[in-house]
Amino acid sequence: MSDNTNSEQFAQPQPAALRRAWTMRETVTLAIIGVVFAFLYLAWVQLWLVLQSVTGPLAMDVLMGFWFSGSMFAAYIIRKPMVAFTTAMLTVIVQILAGNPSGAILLLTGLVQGAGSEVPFALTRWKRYSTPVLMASGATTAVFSFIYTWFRFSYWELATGLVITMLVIRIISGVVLGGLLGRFLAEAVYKTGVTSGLAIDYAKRNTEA
Amino acid sequence: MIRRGVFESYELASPLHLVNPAVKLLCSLAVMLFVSLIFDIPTLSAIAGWGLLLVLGLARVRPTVLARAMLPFAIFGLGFLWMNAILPRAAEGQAEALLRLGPLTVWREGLLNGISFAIRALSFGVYSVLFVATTDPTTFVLSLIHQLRVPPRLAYSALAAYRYLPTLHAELAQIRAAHRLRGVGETGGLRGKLQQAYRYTIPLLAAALRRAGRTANAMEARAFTGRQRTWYRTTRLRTVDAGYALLALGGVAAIVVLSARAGTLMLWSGRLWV
Amino acid sequence: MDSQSTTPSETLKPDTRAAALEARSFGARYPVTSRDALCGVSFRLMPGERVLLLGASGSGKSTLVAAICGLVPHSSYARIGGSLALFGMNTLQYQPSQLSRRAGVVFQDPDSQLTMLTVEDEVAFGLENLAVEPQQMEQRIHEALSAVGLLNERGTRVDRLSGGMKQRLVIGAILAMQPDMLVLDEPTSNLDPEGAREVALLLRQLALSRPQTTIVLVEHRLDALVALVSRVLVLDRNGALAVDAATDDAFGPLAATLDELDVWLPTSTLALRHLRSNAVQVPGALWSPEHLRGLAARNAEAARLLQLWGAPQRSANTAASAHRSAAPAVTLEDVGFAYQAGRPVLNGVNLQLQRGEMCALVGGNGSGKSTLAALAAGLMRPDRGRVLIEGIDSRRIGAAQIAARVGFVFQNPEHQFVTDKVFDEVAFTLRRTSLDEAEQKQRVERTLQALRLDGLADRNPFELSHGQKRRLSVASMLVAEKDVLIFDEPTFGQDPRALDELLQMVQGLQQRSVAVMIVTHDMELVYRHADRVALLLHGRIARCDSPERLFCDDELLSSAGLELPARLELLRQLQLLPAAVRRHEEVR
Repeated sequence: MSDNTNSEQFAQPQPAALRRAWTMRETVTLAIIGVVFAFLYLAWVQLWLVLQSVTGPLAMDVLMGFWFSGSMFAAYIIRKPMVAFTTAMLTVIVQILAGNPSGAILLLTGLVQGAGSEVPFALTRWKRYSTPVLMASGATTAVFSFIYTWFRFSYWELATGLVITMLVIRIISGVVLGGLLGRFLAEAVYKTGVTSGLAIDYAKRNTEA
Repeated sequence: MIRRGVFESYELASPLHLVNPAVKLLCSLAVMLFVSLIFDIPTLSAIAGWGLLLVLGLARVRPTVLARAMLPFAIFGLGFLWMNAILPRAAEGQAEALLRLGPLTVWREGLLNGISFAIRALSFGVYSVLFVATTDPTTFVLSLIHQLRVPPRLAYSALAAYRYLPTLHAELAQIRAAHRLRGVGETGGLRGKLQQAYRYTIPLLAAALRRAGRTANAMEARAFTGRQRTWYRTTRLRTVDAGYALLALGGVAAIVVLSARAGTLMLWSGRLWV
Repeated sequence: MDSQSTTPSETLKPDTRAAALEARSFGARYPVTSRDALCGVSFRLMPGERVLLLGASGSGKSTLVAAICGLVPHSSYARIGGSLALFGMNTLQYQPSQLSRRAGVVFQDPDSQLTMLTVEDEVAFGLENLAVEPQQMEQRIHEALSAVGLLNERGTRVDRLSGGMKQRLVIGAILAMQPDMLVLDEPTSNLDPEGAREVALLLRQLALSRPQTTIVLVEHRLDALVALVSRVLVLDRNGALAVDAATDDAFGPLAATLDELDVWLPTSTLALRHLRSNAVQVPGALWSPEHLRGLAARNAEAARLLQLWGAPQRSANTAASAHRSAAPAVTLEDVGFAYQAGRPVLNGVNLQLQRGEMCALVGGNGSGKSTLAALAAGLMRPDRGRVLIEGIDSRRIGAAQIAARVGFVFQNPEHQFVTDKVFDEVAFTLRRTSLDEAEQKQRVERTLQALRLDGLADRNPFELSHGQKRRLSVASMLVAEKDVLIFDEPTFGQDPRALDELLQMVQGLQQRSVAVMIVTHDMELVYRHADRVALLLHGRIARCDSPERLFCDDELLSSAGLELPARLELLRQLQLLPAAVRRHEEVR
């Protein structure tokens, strides 16, 4: 690149993806990930309703993890504080805007699940986004959401064995359908090149270099 | 094909459209949280009934639309109903068996709990619809900013993303058509379905992320930072909002008081286990 | 226009006397890429000046636009060399939010630029960002909307507007912010002809009514907008500034250079190039339609050559005539279709696609072109009448059979990608054929080579450039023998050379007796390449005829909202329409 005295006069800005604050692109990206996943979740709801009418709430536990995958996906791509939590909340807000009848309820669900997803990332001080961390995030989200349903539907009224089974299934689902699937989708989208300039892009290049 | 949201562009004007969305939302959330603490069927039914009255009367939602919106809640409730009836904790101690269906036993206490949870699920649905069906997207976003202190950058991003929804539907339709012409069958068991979902999801996400970049650029190019801005329209708290809160919450409170007098009220006793 | 003698402004404070835009050896390189997006670009633009920025795709036009308002490097990071100053504000030192107060940018895609849900709120959005007092907004919204002719739509929901109206709204929203510079990044290229006309007209009006506003225009549909600008900058494929000249020089004597840089040229320049190549002496700086008119009036030979240039030139289609006797590849019989009951999109359509011919399908927006194409491809089934593909009713034909016979190149090639490697993408089409693996591999490699994709076999299809994606989608259709090939808007987002290549390929197909249908808004393409053109109007085929005969019928064209091909439009202005397309004119 040609040298010029002018460029020396002013500092080059740091790549926005590496700064702590969110850029506009990152914020809109979170929201739009929210839309796409809200849309996918809606499709998932149909599957769940079919299962639920047959197997009862156990179906919810089996399928639950998928409803966490948006947060994991976003966190893995953007890699900044509060991304997982905010994605969960934006997904809900978009569903309210779109007129989903469950909108208001989802706000509570979103709060709980978003908080659950954020915990493991916060514990690494938002520095590590490895597979184990994403799996852990899936697991904590599952535990948080389980505590929430515990209250909402008085799980203490159910048989002990059943409750433990439900918890274990939900954690497995959170790890697989949440953490691992979110990562898998993010990797596939990374390969399409549309994430260039976002944190995942810088991180990949550093490890490849 | 995936259906659109039941209340997408639900534009019937109703008295509830005048109420500040933040107030409506908080009222509905308050009732939902409170309902979680109530266990007896009569009180739960009365609260759900009160919500239904508000939905049909003040929100002017047509019964057919409401029925469609409530369907998932009904299925959700039914699931809890029979699970509680068949596998209650009570069955570990002394419990009254109502009915035996082959290997399954329906327990009395479990069934009653199950019914109350089903009604609880339904009332969650009713109070959610009360908010969702009567809220204009722009007003909601403004009240998120002005009353609930959501950062403008987030709120406006949500609005921009919401605008992407119709495009998303159109994109999916085109991707399906294109894939069909490539000879990708829409059949083939669970594995085929998953593979197909994956093939649809990646282009959808890729297009969405690209759009996010363009929209963000356009917003920044219009000097948007979220800080130090003025407002063309603001949402405020007015008397009508207080009136609605009084009506919605007062109604629930009255039901609880009456039910306590009648001795039917069963509140949560602080029990977590045992 | 050369004012290099004035002292260049180095001050940080905005200075109204400074150049509107000044680049000094400006360069930008995105992370990981091995070459500069922009390289050593220097120019100086004075306030009130109007400049056209040209360049082939990938030449860095968009980077320069993004750099003007600071999006590069503040939002999209790039390493910057040299400097770029907007009204004396170095873009490295100021944020996009500050720079966009001086320069308003209109991007290509109107949909992704709108944030709010109603027209009025959209205009208010920018004013709010500038912290304009709410009491003053009313006035400014009113002025902006009346400037772009949307006063009656104040409360309308944005998603109910047409593409042209949306783009006018974007322009209005930016005008309300009262910028000193307008940057227009292909403002009409995502619009249908009617929307493009609307926006071009608006921009011409604005240029006249606001002489003090500096304009930077990036555009390839030049005819309607070239009168706006007085200077042309052209970037080459390396992101360097190859031409910086007055409009008359750029499209006159420098036209050959521009052509080599693979940029679109005004139709009148193409006409002159034709004259020159036929040894007509043309003064160098003359290129505008007015000049051409004078030339044709003085020089009878030039007039004759121009008429010849505008006359239909398709060579007799031997392939089509050879197959005329055979059964048509696709037949639509009295086809009706409705998405909503009682609102038919198509109503009694009869059309046949012959082997070896290229049939164009034209019509205004929402006339049902895409629906018809989808029906002809067997993607949808008609409500009424029937569609025969190779003689088989589309209702009775399976998805696999359709895929084997019909190829469809979508406007957005990404939609049809089903694998994550270029090679697999093409091989996918062959996976159910009887060919053995080695043969399949060979076929795929041959096809990739033919479409200049052979070096990219291991890449992810989504990573390719737009032109490459387009070629890949064609490759995946061509690798197996199809009977019918349908192209949706092949011109969209293509450089002139890429489009030529595509059309050559299509002609090759015709030789192989494939029936080709092209759904398009590009009348020039229709006029030059189609054997037949079907015009859809009110759900019916209003006319199916040779292009030259269709383009005689002014009334039909205008009632369908279509325009003449660019060259015919030019010749009409010169009153030199060739005889073949002049019947009506003569009668009058």
